[in-house]
Amino acid sequence: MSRVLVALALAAMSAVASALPQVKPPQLTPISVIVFPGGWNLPIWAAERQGFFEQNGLRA
Amino acid sequence: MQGFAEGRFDIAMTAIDNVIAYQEGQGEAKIPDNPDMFVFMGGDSGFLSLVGGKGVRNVAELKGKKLSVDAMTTGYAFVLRELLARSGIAESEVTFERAGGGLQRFQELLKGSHDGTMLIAPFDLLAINQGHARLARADEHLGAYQGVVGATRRSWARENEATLLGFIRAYHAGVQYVVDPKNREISEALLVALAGRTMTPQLARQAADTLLDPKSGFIRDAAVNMQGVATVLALRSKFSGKPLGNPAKYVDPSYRDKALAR
Repeated sequence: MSRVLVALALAAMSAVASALPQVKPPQLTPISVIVFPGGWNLPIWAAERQGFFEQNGLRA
Repeated sequence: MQGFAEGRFDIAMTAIDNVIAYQEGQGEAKIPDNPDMFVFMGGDSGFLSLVGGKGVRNVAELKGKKLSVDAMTTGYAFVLRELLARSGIAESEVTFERAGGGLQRFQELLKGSHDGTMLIAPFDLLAINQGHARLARADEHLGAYQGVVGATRRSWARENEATLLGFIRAYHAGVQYVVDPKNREISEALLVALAGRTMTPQLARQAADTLLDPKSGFIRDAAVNMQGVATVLALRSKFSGKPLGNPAKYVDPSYRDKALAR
């Protein structure tokens, strides 16, 4: 009996979930950047790790 | 640069002299004429120093010696040639030898293969830590100098303005982040993690002092230093024999201005 109740509960949750509007991840525009290796790329590394590209709609 | 010119990369972070060289058909790699490149923002002043080989303590001692360059016609070689000229050393009084990029020149300098070369931070610091002398800092002798810039193709910029503005904003935010003293430890950690095997925590502290210096470090507002561009053009004109005089031909600040307007 308890198995039936669990199955019914899961089915109900699934139905509710499918009825909810889907939340899509933000679309990021790809951008390709060529750099010469060295410490002068520090601002780009910080921007990557702090999410500044994503905040500006980009995937670098 | 070839991949960039052929459209395989959207943006290049490179020395402005590279951009000028390719636009003028003077680049090292073979690419089509007029690759449509321009500079949209400034990064730094080059962090360039002339470093002596074993036992060389000043520029005058380079007379009669062997110096290494990546090539004779690159911007950083022009800086070396100008520093020699200003010290009264004729090019006929030294020998130039091609020795590859900064890492290779640094390694050869330490081996004693050469008596001087131009090095970019942190290679200058590494050499100094091992007893070599900084003979001259480029920015102290040449005045304003524009080093690394952001460059792209004009056609790509026109068709992808929002993307370019986003990149400029992200890069600018990155600069603001690393120059903020409260993020100093993270900046040093990023250098150790990402700037190559030679970057120890101690060297990262020294390199950060150079890279983050309020006057000579990263350009805080990502603007192109037009006086610095004029210096680069003057050197390339002098040593290439082709007069180049209009910085606006290579630089369009409008994207940077629009991106950072508040």
